[in-house]
Amino acid sequence: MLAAYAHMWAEQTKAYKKADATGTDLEKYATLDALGQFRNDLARMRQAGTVARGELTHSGTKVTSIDLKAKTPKASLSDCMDISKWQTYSVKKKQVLPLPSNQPLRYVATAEAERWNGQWLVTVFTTHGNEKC
Amino acid sequence: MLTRAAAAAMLLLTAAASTGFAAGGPGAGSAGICDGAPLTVTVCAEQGGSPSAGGSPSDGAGSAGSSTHADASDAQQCTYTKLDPQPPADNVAWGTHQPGDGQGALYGVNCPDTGRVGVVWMANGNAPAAPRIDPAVLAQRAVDSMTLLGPDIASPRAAGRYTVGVPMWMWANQSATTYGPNSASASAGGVTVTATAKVSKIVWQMGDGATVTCTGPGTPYKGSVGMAESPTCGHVYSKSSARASGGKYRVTATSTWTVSWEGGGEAGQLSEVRQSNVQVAVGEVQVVG
Repeated sequence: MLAAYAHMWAEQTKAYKKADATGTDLEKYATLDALGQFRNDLARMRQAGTVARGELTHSGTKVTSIDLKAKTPKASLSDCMDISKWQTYSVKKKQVLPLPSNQPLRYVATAEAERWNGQWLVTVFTTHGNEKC
Repeated sequence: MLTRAAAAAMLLLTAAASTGFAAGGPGAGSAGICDGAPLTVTVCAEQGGSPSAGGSPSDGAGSAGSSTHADASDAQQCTYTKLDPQPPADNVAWGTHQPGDGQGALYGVNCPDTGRVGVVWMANGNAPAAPRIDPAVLAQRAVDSMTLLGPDIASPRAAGRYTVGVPMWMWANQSATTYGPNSASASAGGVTVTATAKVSKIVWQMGDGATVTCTGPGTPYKGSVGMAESPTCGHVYSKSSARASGGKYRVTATSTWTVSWEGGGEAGQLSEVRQSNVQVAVGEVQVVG
């Protein structure tokens, strides 16, 4: 399940860097709300002519709850996201867009995952900008 | 006809709305910094505003057919993508349908302009091939076109005289604009959404600090029941209104209109709140005559 989360981020990072999920395996690791949010994100980035650059890192990823007995096994996890080396680049303006001045650089993210047919998929992903880490 | 499947999809849409990431679409957030920032930039995600099914703030009260709406209908679109893999059979989004029954499939819904995400079952061949207007936006437009008023308070009456210790019966007259059902449709881009609004509860603030929640219009009082309490919606004052402002209690009745909508293969729910007031005199002594 942690592997699925890591894979999701690897694929999502690829997608963010070109503002397009085409050619990535994002759908193998994210679905439902999480996938919809990422698709919204990518669509808005395309519309605004931006791509992501740099690195998005996660640390301390841990499973906070898990239910393997349910018909569809479920789990929750949380980690600390670090976007200090992550940039939004405007292809139109050919420049890195500054972050809002009150943007935290390290904050908690949580996710929920379900196991479908043997494969864990992230169904919900939530950032908690008010919880620094 | 609202099937169970539609009801299930509705629940999911509601849930999705509450966790949805916000819109960074036109009109949302400051241009420049937040324009096109991914959701990892939490400040932008939060200031994007309402991700609810109600649509963006710009889709507020205007009249249908205005240029603002015409623009909004072009912009506020959703994309429908068949989920691959499909969720397992026990996922509530299936409703009465079964995976692999050959009739349809579950589609992920994502609407970049409003931030809405969801999942919906669509019959084979019914899923929109290209992005199309968000039915939730049309639903709000249909609601905005209806006249939805506060409760038409039948009792207590402003002219009435009420007595401490004597059960008061509260009830409201029922009409399409004050209690429902009331319905309206809105169309754009080949999608028609029909919304039906009905009051689901009335919360009465009695003016003496008490709050009474009634899930119906209340029961009209009949003299034959004497001093009985209302079986559905009542209150007993324990103090006279002599010391209240103007010598009367200000009674506020707040109705919650629950709106169910359906269209474009999707269904959902939203709510609106309306208020009415009446001032009532409550005395210590039973008034004779």
